[in-house]
Amino acid sequence: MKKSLVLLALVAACQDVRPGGQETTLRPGPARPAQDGGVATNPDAGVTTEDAGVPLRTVEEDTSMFGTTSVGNLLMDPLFRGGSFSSMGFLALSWTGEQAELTWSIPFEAATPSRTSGATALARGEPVELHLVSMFSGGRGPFYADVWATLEDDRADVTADAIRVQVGEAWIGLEPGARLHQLAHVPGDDVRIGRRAWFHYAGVIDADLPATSAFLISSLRSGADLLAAGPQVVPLALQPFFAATGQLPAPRATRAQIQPVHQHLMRRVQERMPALESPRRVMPRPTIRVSPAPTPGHVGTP
Amino acid sequence: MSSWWCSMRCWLMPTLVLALMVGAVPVRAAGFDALGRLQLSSENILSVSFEDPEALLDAGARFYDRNLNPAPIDAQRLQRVITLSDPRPLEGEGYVYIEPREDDVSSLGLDVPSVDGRVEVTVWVRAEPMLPALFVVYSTSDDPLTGLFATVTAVATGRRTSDDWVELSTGPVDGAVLGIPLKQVVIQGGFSDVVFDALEVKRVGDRAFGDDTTCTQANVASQCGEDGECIFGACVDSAVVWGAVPYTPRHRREYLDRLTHIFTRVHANRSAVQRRGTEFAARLAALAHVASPRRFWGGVADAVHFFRDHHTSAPVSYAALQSSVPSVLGRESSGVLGACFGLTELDLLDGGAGFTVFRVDAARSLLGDALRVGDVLESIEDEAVDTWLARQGTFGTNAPSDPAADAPWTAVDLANVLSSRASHFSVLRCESSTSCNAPTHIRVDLQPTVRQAVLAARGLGVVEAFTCDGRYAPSVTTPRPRPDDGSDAVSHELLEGINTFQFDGFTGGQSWRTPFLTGLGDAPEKVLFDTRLGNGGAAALAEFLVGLVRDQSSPQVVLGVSRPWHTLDPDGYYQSLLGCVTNPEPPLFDACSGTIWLGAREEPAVASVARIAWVTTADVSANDFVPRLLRGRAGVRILGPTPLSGAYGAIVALPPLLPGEYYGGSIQVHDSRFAASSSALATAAYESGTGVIPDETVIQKLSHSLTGRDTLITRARAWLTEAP
Repeated sequence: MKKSLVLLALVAACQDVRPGGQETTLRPGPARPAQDGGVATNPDAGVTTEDAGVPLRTVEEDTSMFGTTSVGNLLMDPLFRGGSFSSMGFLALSWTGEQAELTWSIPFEAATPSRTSGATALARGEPVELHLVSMFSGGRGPFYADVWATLEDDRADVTADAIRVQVGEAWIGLEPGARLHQLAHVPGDDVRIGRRAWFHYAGVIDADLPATSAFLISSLRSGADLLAAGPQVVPLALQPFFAATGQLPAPRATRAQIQPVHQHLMRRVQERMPALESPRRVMPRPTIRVSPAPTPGHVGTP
Repeated sequence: MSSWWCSMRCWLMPTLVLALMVGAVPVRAAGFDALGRLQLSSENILSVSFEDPEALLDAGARFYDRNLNPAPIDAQRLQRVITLSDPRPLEGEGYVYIEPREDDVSSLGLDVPSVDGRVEVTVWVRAEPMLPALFVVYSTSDDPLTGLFATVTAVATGRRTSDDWVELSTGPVDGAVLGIPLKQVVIQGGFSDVVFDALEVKRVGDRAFGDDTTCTQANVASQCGEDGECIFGACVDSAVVWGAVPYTPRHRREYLDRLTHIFTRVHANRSAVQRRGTEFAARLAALAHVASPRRFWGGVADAVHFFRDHHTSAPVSYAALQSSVPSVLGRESSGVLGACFGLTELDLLDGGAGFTVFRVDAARSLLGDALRVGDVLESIEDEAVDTWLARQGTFGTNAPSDPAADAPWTAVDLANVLSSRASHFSVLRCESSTSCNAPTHIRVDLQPTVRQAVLAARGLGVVEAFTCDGRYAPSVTTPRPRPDDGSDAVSHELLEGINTFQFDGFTGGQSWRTPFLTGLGDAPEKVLFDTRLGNGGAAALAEFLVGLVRDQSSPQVVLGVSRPWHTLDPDGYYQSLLGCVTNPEPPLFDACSGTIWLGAREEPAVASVARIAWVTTADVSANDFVPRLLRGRAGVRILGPTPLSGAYGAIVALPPLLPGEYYGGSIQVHDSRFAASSSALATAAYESGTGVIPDETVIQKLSHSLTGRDTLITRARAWLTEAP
């Protein structure tokens, strides 16, 4: 397989969801690297040449800690490292049709298109729709926003329209506010990693966002696990490159030959985690206490 | 400027286009052959290929379960986790693939040969679906993990193969810490499958100091070198004090840029961001090329201290958490001194303020009876006390939002800071309880006593420390112990007609509320709240107590809000959130989720408490909010030595960014305005950074300390009994 380095500018639309359900396409979004047979290539990832049918291994040096996401990301835990460490991280919620409840998610570090760790919200066999939601500080736009997501569902093929990504006044438990933006699926960006198809939702939000904003990734298929990686909301003012060229922040990886997040691996993790009962609780009120930090060097009785 | 941002600009540059083209043909990375297989160096101290079970047993292989308890191991069990069938192993012919089962292994330990020098330990791991961790263990025990003296967790080097192997490294670490050898390396998994290969231990240089090299905080750089730290009066590798630093300059820059982004665009303490945000960013930027753990992590900690927000703290690594040579010995603790200090008016000396011993317990001290109540701290390591303490930001302690509140907080942490960081200090001892004209100067040598005790115990379990709570003496006769769940105890006694409550914060359940409901239920005439150590707590409990004791003379409300990223307070922003004051209990998320509100949601339950004395010392957060809301109420007097911390908002923890981080630090995500009514909030000012100034400044007097009198409680009780 010969790798193409041609960059094609594709359009990723960002749609503004208005009250009443009308959607307005705002303007073209970022471009993406070339695709080849549904597999994104990675211009700086090194080698995919073949030797007697066995691809050679290549080594990248000094890869980013944040993959294709920006350090200027307004989401506080885009790497899903903190679990539900605070009200500013991603929370996994199940939606029964009447109320939202906190549920479990499992982080993973296997390959993703964003080259970052990700998280799986678990339906645990229950007929619920899942959300991964994070509050963040909005402000002056425009913004570039994107995320990679997919579902785990044994019953049917997963399609991009089974996932919705909203940014802004995407409240849970209330009607969404007027300043709500739905990221568009970028069909040409679909990436298959192992057996799993990842879908890219992206766009430019050409508007201010409320200071208290939400990034809401939702499964629209009841009972399916929801996987996400590389969520970000980046003010274009912090990334002039976006404003000047409309390019994506980084090329995405060629991952056809690498280790995927296999379904069975996530299930193994679930099975090994003891007492994984749904927490069934609502959001706590804020803590105004100065002792979240662990206390190193505790002196104690031998 | 962020590294990411630079890389984006580079996209447009011809040089990178060239790099992309070069990337289309095989490039041999260091240590890899033309086929992309890693070659272990023959110069390594230890190279492990993970193919031969017998060789692994000879190398001291041990299995552990996911709780790091030892698990059975033999050649057969080892053979089962070695994969030889993969046509493309990273190195050699095989690698380890552990699929943990119930009560089965998820981690593997290997002995490290003794080495006099500095070493770097690396391993390649693959996520299935989580990456294993690599850490090294300093120990003399036959079971190194049980007898763990210190540890360093590896970080990613940034090297990653096209089939997703990731390299981890400890960075350079000493072969021993205070004579305790680097004994073992552990590759640790959890619930995930565990995949790794190609462990290497390389000698990377000579140590900069010997195991018995002594030091002080003033000469740590010259005595211990770039990578050394001075703990217990001796040089130690700073990696075991702080943890490994991000591996490459790019990683350090990304890590620091991320912190800067959060501190300057998400942190909501208006005063701190406006006054110190730019300097904070500059201080972090200067660390991008610093590879020394002492200078890097000490620099981050010092920048956080400089930023000055009491809800804000620096990251904490597993190395720091588990170290027997910690930067400081905990918080608000007597450390190994068996003593607590307090801020004191030196009325028998020159009349200024200083730190004196408030409490001693020789049975819980490594120093025996070296200290007495009333001893005045005179110098530390032959430096003036303030000069020595000016370094405490680099030790990892955060700072009150209001600098005027520093002294009481320094006092409650002083014993544990001295315990780990000082080799000796000096105190003055007055000749009598009424005179200090000819005091005795007493030098207290901590080292080598403490160091030897820690080494003998192979850890910090050398004394039973107790809490330093800022009190010279309790205000109740029988203080209740802290509940086992770590929440705050509330002690209530009726003493000489005064309902006296002693408590340290606002955490707990019904047992926290009941004493207040009981003690305030019959509208007592005189109430004393002794909150001389207050770490805050739940907003709901703060609101509960305010609701019990406020009256119509203090209809104050507070609304704390977050911020947009681009500015702290755009026009109309605060006003747009005023409706949150009357918002009912919010759903999971809405626009008011970014606010915090306290005030008159409930009608006052007890309006007739005539006089309330609120005694403070080291108080922050909810312990800021409540006195701020009560200040000005008729019949309330706040007594204390200094202003309070002025941390008006909620705290959120930051996620760890490195494998070796236990905790990513914390920030404050609100700033708050106070006003007499909701409508008046619109024109009020944000108050974080300015703590409540006591109605009456009262400091413990040295003369009282020497005669057993608690100055603050004495004065509070006197005020309560004065005629209104």
